[in-house]
Amino acid sequence: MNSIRLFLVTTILALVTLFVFVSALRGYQSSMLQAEQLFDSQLQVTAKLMANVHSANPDTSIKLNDKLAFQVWHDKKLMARSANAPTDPIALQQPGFGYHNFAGYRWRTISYFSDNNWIMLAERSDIRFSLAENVVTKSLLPTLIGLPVLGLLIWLIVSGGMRPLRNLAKELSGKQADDLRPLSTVLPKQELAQIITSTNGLLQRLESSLQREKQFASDAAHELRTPISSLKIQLHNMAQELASQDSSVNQITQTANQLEHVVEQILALYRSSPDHYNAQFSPLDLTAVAQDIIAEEYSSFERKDQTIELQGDGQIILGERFSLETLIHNLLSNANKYTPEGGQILVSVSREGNAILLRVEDSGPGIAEDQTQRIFQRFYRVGGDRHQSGEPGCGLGLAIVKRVAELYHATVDVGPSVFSSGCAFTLRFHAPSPSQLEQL
Amino acid sequence: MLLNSVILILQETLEAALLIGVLLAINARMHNSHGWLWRGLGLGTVIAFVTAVNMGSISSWFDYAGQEVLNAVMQSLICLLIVVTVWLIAGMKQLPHSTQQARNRFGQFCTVIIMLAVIREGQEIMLYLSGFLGNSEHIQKVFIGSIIGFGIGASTGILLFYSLAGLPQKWSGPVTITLLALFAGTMLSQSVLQLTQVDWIEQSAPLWDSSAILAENSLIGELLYALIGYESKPTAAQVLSYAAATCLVLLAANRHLLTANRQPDQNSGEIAQ
Repeated sequence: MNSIRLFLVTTILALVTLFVFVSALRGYQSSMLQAEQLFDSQLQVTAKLMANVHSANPDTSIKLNDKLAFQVWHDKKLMARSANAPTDPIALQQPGFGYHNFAGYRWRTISYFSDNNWIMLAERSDIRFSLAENVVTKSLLPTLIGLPVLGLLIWLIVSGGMRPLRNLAKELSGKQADDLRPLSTVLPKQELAQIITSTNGLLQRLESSLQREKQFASDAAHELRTPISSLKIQLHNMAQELASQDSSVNQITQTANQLEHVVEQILALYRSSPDHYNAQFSPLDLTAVAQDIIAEEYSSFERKDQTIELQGDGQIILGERFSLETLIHNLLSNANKYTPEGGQILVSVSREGNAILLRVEDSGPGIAEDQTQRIFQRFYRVGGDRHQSGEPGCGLGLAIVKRVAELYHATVDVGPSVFSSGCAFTLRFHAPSPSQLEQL
Repeated sequence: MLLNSVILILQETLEAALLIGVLLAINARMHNSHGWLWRGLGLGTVIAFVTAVNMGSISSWFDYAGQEVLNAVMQSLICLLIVVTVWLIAGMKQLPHSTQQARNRFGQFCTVIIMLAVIREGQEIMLYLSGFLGNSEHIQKVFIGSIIGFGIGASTGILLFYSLAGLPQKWSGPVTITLLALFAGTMLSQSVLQLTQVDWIEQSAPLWDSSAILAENSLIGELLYALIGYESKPTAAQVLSYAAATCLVLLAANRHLLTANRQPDQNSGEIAQ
């Protein structure tokens, strides 16, 4: 009942029906009255004719049709009557019309006085009514037949009138997330012109704002990279110059590493945003990509004396190398951070029906059930500021994982790992169909 | 014949259409689906058909007072269900934010109300129309009259629904509750009238006669009869039952007044304000 079209069609049709039918009823009543007057005037003419031709023979019984009956009275003496009329008076000896009952029916009567005789003529009331009603009813039929046609026309006209609105809705719903081009303004209807102008203004402001944001994020990250690199080199030199291990220098180095990590992650998050991601997908071996990243990151695991294992054979998905590397890198980095020294990490790639699963499991402390959704929020870290991993981190890693998963229309689940403690991150990618692979 | 059909069908359709219009307007404000309406209409039509087919034996119940007693029971039930429904909606804090459970329960009550209304009106229409099935002389006029009566009744119901749905929030509650109160009054007073006709309630002289001012069988009279239960010659029992049912609905709408001492925070349903 929230449809504008349904509202317009039903209310217009209901109003039209109400007015047409009430008018039809009024018309019916007045037509019936007119017909009654017509029959009465015919009856009167017939009575006058009879006054001129009546016979004086009282025994004559004239046969008429069942619809009419008559009597001719001279004072109290019945001078003539039709075969279907009784011998008693069928009407009063008073000039004018009336209703009387005889011979099992109700009759419309007229009494007419002429040449000292009372001409009494009667017409069956039910037949008069039926005849009149038949005529009037036939005149109502076109209205009744026309109403559904009118309903259909109203529906078509309202639908036609609403087409520009539907087209506008279609254009808006068909817009891609990154499509901020103005709406088409070719001869818009007067009522829609304001909406289109306002929407276009909004889109323009949004585009400028996004452009500014894009520029700012990109410039800030790039501009920060160089001073951070210089800072790190200078810190390295400073550490070399200072003979002893200065804990302050170590702390500054650690902070500089963390700052570098945050900048890199902000750039990665920005690059993996679906609104700004236009990479072309191509077939990629997910296991091979995982193997490369493990090899790259191996030193981090070795440093913490962790064992990392990769299970699975070649599984092809449609993807883009940089984003997949970012995803796996963040998952492994997360496992590395939260798994204690000497812990275990298992990476597996497998196929399950039409899905290809990438699973990263660790033997860390695990994640409480009430935290499983929050960990994908930006800048959220389990334990908050009391985070005890001691590793550089800014709470963006899993947000990036989620963003990349969205790019691939993949799902991310968190559950218990195969180890006695720890958690498992499972990414479920769509396996490409043979026809998709052929097209590429 | 045509006019008789118009009046009879209009009388039956108008009552059901207005009740449906009011309940639809409340459901629209609750953002409730319309499943309850189709269930009520479907069940009502089927049971009305079964009742009409067996009306011969039903009439012979209670010493040939069966039809009147059945109608009186259904009308009293509709009245009771309207009271319960109003009590329910008065207990909801905000209709648009009512819980799914509350919406479902409300929908179930609406289904039963619509079902009973359709059974009552439907079986009378079916009985009337079945009398003309073999009569080729009158069938066309009866058919046209029925369409006109149904068209006027249904159109009025649709317009009432959109009028109520379009009312500002502060007016929609009082207007809807008032209409439901008058419906409940109509149902109970008609129930009393049915029982009076079969001498279950003692016959008494009418309290007044307003037929000269507004005849019941005029178009306005029919509309007022369906909307507020207008009778030109009501008896004391009818007036009393009408007033009692109306007051009961108004009391149910203000349940916070009855439960104020116990539940000061859960009073005042939006619709009842």
